[in-house]
Amino acid sequence: MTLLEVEDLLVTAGDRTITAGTTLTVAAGETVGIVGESGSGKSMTARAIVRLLPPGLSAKGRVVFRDKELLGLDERAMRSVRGSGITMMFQDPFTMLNPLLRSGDHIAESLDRGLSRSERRDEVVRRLDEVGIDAGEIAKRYPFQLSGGMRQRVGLAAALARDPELLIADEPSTALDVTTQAEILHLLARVQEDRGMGVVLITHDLRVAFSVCDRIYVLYAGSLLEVGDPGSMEQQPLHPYTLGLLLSEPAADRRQSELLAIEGSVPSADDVTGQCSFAPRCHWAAEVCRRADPPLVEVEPGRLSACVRIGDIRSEMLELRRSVAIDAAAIPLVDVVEEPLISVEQVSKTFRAGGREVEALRKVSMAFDRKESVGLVGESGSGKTTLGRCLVGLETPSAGSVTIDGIDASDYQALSSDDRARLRRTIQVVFQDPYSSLNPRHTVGRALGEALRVHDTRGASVDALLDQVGLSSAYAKRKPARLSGGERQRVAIARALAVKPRFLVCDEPVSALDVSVQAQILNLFKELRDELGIGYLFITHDLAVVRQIVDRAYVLYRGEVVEEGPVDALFNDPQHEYTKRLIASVPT
Amino acid sequence: MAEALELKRTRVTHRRRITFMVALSFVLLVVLLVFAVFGTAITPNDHEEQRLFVSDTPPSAEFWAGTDQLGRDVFSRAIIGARPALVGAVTVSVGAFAIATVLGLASGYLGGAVDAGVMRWADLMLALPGLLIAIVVVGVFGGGFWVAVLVLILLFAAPDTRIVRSAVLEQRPLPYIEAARTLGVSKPRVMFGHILPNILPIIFAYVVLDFAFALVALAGLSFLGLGVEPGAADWGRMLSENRSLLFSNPWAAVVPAVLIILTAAAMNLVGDWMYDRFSLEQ
Repeated sequence: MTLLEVEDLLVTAGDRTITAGTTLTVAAGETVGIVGESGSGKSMTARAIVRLLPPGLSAKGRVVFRDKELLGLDERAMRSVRGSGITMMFQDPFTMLNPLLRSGDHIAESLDRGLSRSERRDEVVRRLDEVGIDAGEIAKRYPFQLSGGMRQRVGLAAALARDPELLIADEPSTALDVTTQAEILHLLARVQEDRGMGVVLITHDLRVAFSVCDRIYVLYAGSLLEVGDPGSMEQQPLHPYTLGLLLSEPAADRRQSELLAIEGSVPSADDVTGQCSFAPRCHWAAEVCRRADPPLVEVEPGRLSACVRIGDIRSEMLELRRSVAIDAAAIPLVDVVEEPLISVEQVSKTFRAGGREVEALRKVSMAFDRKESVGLVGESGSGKTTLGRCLVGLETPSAGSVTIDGIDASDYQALSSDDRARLRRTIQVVFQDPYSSLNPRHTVGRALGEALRVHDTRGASVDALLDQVGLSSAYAKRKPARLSGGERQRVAIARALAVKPRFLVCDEPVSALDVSVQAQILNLFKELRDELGIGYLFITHDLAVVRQIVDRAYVLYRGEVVEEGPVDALFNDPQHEYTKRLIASVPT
Repeated sequence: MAEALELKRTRVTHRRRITFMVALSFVLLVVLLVFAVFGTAITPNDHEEQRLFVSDTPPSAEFWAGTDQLGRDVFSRAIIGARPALVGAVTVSVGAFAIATVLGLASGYLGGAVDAGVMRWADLMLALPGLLIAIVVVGVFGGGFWVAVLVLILLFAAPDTRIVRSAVLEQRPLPYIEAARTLGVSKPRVMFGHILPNILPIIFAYVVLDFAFALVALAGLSFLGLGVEPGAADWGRMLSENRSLLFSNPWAAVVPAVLIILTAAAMNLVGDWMYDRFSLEQ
């Protein structure tokens, strides 16, 4: 039985296109995935369905839920559909709950009004139990007293309180740690099955969609490019974009010699109207692709593709896939570190906040050699970022010592300015969020010029730096607002390279980027290492990234190093309980 | 089949467009600026000439807003009054923020003892009853208009410093500042080259607010006979001198009063609009 039928849903902001005619159906008891990168319009499609578009955006087309046309309903009638008919679950567990309401109250608030006090209390317990929460302990707590995963569970229980027939989950696991992410996805799948509910899962992660969905809609720059079941889509994608996504995703089980990145960055839907939206980045694009917006056509039973050339290129795509599947590179052997460039000995860091003491690091010891690429793996709160900040002097360890290139770098403030300048030239940092790591008021040229001037690096120029990270010199005149996420991260890397450092601390450098762009940046890091002989510390939660780029890794858990070793050994034969759990949680 | 339906559209861009009120405020401010710049060159009559035989008359063809007790042309005096009003208010608001920007950046970015010192100074200043201090200082020491301006600058600087400081604290933990620090960029460069440009819209918004407060405060001081010397053409002074004429020529008091209110309101509207525009452009 069809629950939801969306036909030619067009979302626009004034005269700008956000999505260009999305068509999808959801049956009762079915999980449907909408997969897309940033700017694909996936969230706006979901919001248009429940009529919760932000101001300035409007929707056209047909959205039929149980024979009711939703776009035409007045706000009052729509309210009765939300909650008991369709409900939504959002990405950010930190802002989704009202900080002044206890978690039990969130659910009680949404329950049927007809219940008595004690019935209501029992019902809250039952509902929390459904999402795997022990109500006795959690119902009385405020959101800030709960972990991200717990909050997401409370959010799910609240969304389910009115027994909806359709749940739209917008990136429900993205903000969570890998292990928690797996738990939430399992929970979602279980609840869906128990209730026979329809679910629309919105995600940027193809792997996540593959693991839980019955049917997947691949959305790119506002257009649907491929529709099909996960099994056959993974086996043999019917659109170059889907193939590109699959290929640019780093493998978690082996080292690839080079990641196949999709060129360029995701365009806005408005820039690619009247043609195949993927044509500007497509390896196989021909004249016919740019002539008109290709329709979704059934290629095989139950499988639709918007690629007009799919008949011609199918075998080529398959060939490419195969060549990548067998590609595996050897990981350079790790030398025994005798006189390391950087050594961290027994470092502890304690933060004091509001009378409470939080131990971020507990007696951590590490050593990094010249030209070595090392990973630091851990979940949020493990202390991995704190360690990186201690290395570059943004944080001062409470105890222990850091020695960099023979200089005691435990306390940057205590150093002579000569020593400090030498440290700055030795070790630099690349941050996670490319959107805030560049000064919005400075042009790229000014940012890089400043970095060059600070340490009087002779012979280097802004143009040369830009060239090093694969950007043309025209970028010097631009401000960050006019750059894509990937371009910004390139600029941030160029800025760190300006002082010709020997070691880069990279704190989650690709996790804020789109999958198709992530591979480009990872390749860039590999290139730079081979060309410049720079050593890296990669701080990340993403095990696949670690597998691709580092030789050796440390696993950090609650401020302590629980395991270390060459990546192959670490992945193939993890020793510590926590490492095993981490590796098992990677969606496959 | 139901035909395609379009949902109601709300405009997000309306804050950036010039509304009628903003346009009107702009016109008023430009007119006042012309008054302040050209002064005597554009007054219809000599603003200081005393015409005792036509004193205290209602508006006429010759004297558009009538005359005051000494027979001086109210309209011309209102035009001349634009200069001290604008100059005083601008000096106070810009001066206060110049001090506040330096102190706020230093205390927010450097922290530690600098922060503690600056903040205790600000606390002290805020504990003082502002306008009362100004009245006492100007009343005791005399010295006129510029002393009043100076006292107001010092009084306004304290709360402004707190505003700048909190804006700095918001920028300070952002990665772009940390990146500059790890590169070894000097502290003054980080403060003035990196942080300042990013908090300028906020500073600007408060400068405009301060302008309105300063305008009213200076007018209040003049009303009390402090600040400008007696006989000068100043809106606050005119208001106090002419309030006894409300029955014979109400315009003599209403014109300066309305000008004070309109100038403060216009500056606020324009400032608000400019703030939205600049911060959205980012």
